[in-house]
Amino acid sequence: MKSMSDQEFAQTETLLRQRLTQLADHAPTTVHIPGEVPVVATAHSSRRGRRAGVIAAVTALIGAGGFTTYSFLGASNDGGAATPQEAVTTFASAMEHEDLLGMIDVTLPEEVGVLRAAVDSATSDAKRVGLVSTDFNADGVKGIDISVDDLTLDTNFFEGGLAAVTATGGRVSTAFDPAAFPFGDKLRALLGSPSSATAVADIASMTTPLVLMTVERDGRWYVSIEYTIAELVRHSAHLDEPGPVSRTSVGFDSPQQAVDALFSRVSALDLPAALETFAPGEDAMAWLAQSWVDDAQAGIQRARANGWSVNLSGLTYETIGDGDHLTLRPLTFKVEGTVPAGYNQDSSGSADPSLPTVVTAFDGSGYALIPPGEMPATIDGLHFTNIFPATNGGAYNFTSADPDGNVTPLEFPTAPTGDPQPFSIERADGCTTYRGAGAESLFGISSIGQAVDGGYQLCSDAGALGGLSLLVLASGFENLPSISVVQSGGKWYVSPLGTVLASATTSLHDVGDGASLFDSPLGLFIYGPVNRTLMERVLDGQSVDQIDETCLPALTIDNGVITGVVADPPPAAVRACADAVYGTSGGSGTSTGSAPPAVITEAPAATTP
Amino acid sequence: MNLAMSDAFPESARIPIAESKAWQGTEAVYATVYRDLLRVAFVLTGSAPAAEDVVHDVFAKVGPRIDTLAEPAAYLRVAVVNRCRSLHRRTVAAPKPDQPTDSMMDVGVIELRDALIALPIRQRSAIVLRYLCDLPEEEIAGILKCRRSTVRTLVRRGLAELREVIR
Repeated sequence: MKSMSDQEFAQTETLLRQRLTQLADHAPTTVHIPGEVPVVATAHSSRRGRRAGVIAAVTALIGAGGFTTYSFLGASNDGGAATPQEAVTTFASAMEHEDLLGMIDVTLPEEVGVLRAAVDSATSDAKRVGLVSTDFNADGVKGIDISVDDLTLDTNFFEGGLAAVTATGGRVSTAFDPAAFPFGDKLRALLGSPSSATAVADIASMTTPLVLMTVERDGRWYVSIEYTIAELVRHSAHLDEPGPVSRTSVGFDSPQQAVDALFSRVSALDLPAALETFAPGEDAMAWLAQSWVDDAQAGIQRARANGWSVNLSGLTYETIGDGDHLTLRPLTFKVEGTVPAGYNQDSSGSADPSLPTVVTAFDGSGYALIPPGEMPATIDGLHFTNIFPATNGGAYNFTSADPDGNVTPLEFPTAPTGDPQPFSIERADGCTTYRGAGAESLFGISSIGQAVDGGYQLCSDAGALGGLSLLVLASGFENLPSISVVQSGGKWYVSPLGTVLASATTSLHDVGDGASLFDSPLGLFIYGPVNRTLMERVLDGQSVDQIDETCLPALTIDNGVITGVVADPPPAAVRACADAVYGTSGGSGTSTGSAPPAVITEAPAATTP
Repeated sequence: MNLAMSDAFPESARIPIAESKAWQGTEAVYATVYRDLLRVAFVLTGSAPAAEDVVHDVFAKVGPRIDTLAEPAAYLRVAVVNRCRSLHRRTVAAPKPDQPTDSMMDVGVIELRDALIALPIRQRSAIVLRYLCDLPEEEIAGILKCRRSTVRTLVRRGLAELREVIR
């Protein structure tokens, strides 16, 4: 294990605090009173059956969307519903009865074309890589049956003709018949003979609220996928409820110009101008941005004053798709800029004076937010809440109060001296090269990159970043995200919904015809919750004697020691390895498949938890 | 039954827990500290269902005597950490991380969760108590029943393991 300097230690501590907070934000949020915790009834099924069911469900959604696409070509889509709840019940009922025209009828018109492009792309690639059969019929997917019973809904109206409809009760039943499902050859070979599966989910017991957002257009209500995504983000980040959206859409003469404009405005750190590139009617991200854009813009102004600068040039793209909906993936670019002198290099203090500070109550029961640059000696005047602050993009300093009300002071670095440090990041031929003293301050790339002339280089998959990763210019990255654009009225605009969907469809698009699905984004569904990197990190160097023998076909072994993972491992072996990776398997001879769960009966004592 | 947590939380953390009316009774405490405990349990186990089970079980056991505790939030946090640790000591019952698609995590968060799960539970507990709960080394040493220098070693080794993932 490589040792760390005090400077590295302090940097890592700060980063870890932020990342742990981000991870903890994914914890469940529903509060259940003891004695009233609902019980979920789930029919028994084999793990293989459930896994195949998940894959089939994902594929069915592709198929359902595919039907949406083709049906919409002949549909007027002037339907909608009289109320938000009616829109959602119509949508759910249509899905239950496989009435895809009915689903289209209550979907926001601006989103149907975007969904069509994503589904067309995904369906085509799913056939190509062997997930579904070549005669896969998008008019209806066999083998999947979904039913919704006793659905109860609650509506929360927002300003600006929006309403969130939350399912508060009912059951969703699913049944999967693998004999009827149109598996592709490759997927069927990997799965073997999956068994049928059924499951019942109690909506009231779900930890994540089941919400669909609806939008009012000319007195009618429509389901919006984009607003639903935005609301999920807003809910999970505890952001305030945004007000009505008011913005101008600016169109461009070509797809490239639209994406150039988005990237140049983001790199110019002008977020409101970047939002103007979004397509008319696709307002959900601008709606959500109201909750954080002012804080972000203020942070950007402080960063500029401190010596930060960014300039983006040399963008070229690969174009995916055709017609009025395209996705542009950056192939080359160059980012040049500066970081403040002494950035990340002063070990005299680990706190960042440009960030707000979160004070945790002495018993961990509440949080108070202090503006950047301030550090009160006591908690007098501070306002504590139990909701963790969700502003400034999640970047904070952290300190705590003691039982006497004193705030533990933070150590701030001494003021940096000297000129800002230059850096450059250049992407070409599938590799990203980092140069300049500023690049080392920003990314610490020397420890993981390959040394090249005047800098360090990382070479990896271009599709590593998802469509929501637009604001990565100052946080470390290898590539810019793929961006989807849509043509409307002869002009091209950025499509936020298309960009989110493209993060999935381009990943599928990147799977080579003969490539192992283990290294693709689909690996999670087929091989379980482990990947090559995690397996190698945990298992490399271990003796084969410590590993269940059913895991061994997935591994490369030298003299009885594990040295890596084979190129195309069998799914069953990878799943067996997952037990070893996550520590649920003992040494040799330990059985994990049939042992009943241990019954935990101990409780903390009255005085010693 | 769902509760709006903001309705039950005291206006200022300066109010000693045991003296605040908002903290009287199991339900009020449950609603007030539940989410913070879930955050700790979720990071320690990597699994939302396991975290919910842990926190619920702790409340079910501690509930009858919660009014007798001077610092129920701190007590419950320790109980949750101990419960998570005991889960991992029982080999076949140790929770598995949620599949990433279940919670819309980004890649960096998933990598951190996986890296945390790969750490020994004692090291993981030290990291979570230090950097998520912001506890001082001395208090962590009391919870983990070890010396303060051991806590420092656990934290430093854990940080070194996680360094590449969080960059």
